[in-house]
Amino acid sequence: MCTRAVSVLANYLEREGFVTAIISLIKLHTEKIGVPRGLAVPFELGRPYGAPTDAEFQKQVLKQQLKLMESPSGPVLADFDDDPPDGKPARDWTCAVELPPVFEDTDDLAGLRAAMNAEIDALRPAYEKAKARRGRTTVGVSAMNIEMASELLLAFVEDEGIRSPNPEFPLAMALKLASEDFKAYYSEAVAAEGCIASSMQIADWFWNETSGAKVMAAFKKACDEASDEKIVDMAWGVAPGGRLP
Amino acid sequence: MVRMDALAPAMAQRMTDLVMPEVESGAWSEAKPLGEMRVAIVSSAGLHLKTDRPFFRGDADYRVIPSDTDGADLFMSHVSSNYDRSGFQEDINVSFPIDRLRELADEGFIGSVAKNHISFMGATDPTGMERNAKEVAAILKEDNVDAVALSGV
Repeated sequence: MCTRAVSVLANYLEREGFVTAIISLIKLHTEKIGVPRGLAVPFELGRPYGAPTDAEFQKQVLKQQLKLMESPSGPVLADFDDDPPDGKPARDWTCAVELPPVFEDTDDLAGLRAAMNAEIDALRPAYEKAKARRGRTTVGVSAMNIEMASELLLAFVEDEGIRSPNPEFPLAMALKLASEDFKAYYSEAVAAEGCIASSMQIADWFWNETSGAKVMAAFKKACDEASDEKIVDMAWGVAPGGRLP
Repeated sequence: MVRMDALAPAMAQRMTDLVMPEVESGAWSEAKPLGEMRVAIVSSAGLHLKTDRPFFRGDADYRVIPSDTDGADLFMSHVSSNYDRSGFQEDINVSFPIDRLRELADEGFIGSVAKNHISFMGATDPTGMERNAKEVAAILKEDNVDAVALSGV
């Protein structure tokens, strides 16, 4: 949906007198809307400039995008043909951190809480290592630490009547942000040694091999069944399509 | 285009079926030579400073990201989960190419980098962004920006 948004925004800003060029991840959307200048790229959603930590490749994409601004007439929708370098993801990658067996019973909240906390503890050294290597973390958007964010998810499963921990955020928003921090903690932890897993390998690992995914399953179910319409409405964005019922 | 066969079938179908708004699309601004243009980034990746209010479902407003923002102070609160975030976790430039833009200015490929950049959050009806786009235009004009590189996730 982002390609839809930037395609529309390009028209609004061009009308204001700016020379615009977009990166289009979904060419179909850009073709339907029409833009002054667009570069359709063959990259996965989330990576409009192709490859993390590959400055030369990113620059190549950005230069082609900017060069469209020199087109004498338009509209122009060009294709960027090169695939991003794969960064040599390990073919048989497995998470280097040994986790306890996945706790499958999502109705046993005490057991699920214990399994979740055990995973968070087990992943902590790797998470801290990744944070130090990158000099940053994306965990914290909820303004809670990982213990508070993860606990909020299960507290909501236990009682949908809980209050938002942040008076500035409605409960639906606090829950969504906590869920993003929760998932980010896991995916950052597995990159302690660098990006040796592909995005799909990281996602497969989280959704198939962690008790964290079971927490997300219980949380999404509680959101789907909530009486607060904002929470029900938010629930679609909790997990990638097809990962949870 | 992202390969539809790389997406989950339900996601690919959703992308194919998504209704596109009708927008007047004939505008065309004349460009100066690239080496003379001041360029801003406008993203729909739901980016913002740590100190900003995160985005939430339905938000059609925007956040201002100063050019000298440290990557450690940049957060993403896009409401969709249907895209990869591990790339951004590793390197902000994969969706917000601020370092690359700065390098291109240093090389003379573009004239200069804008003082401020902008992010919207793309998982909302973009026609609701029109009034906000006018505000963004005013911010960029104040900084003598000529050109805008847009991208989303």
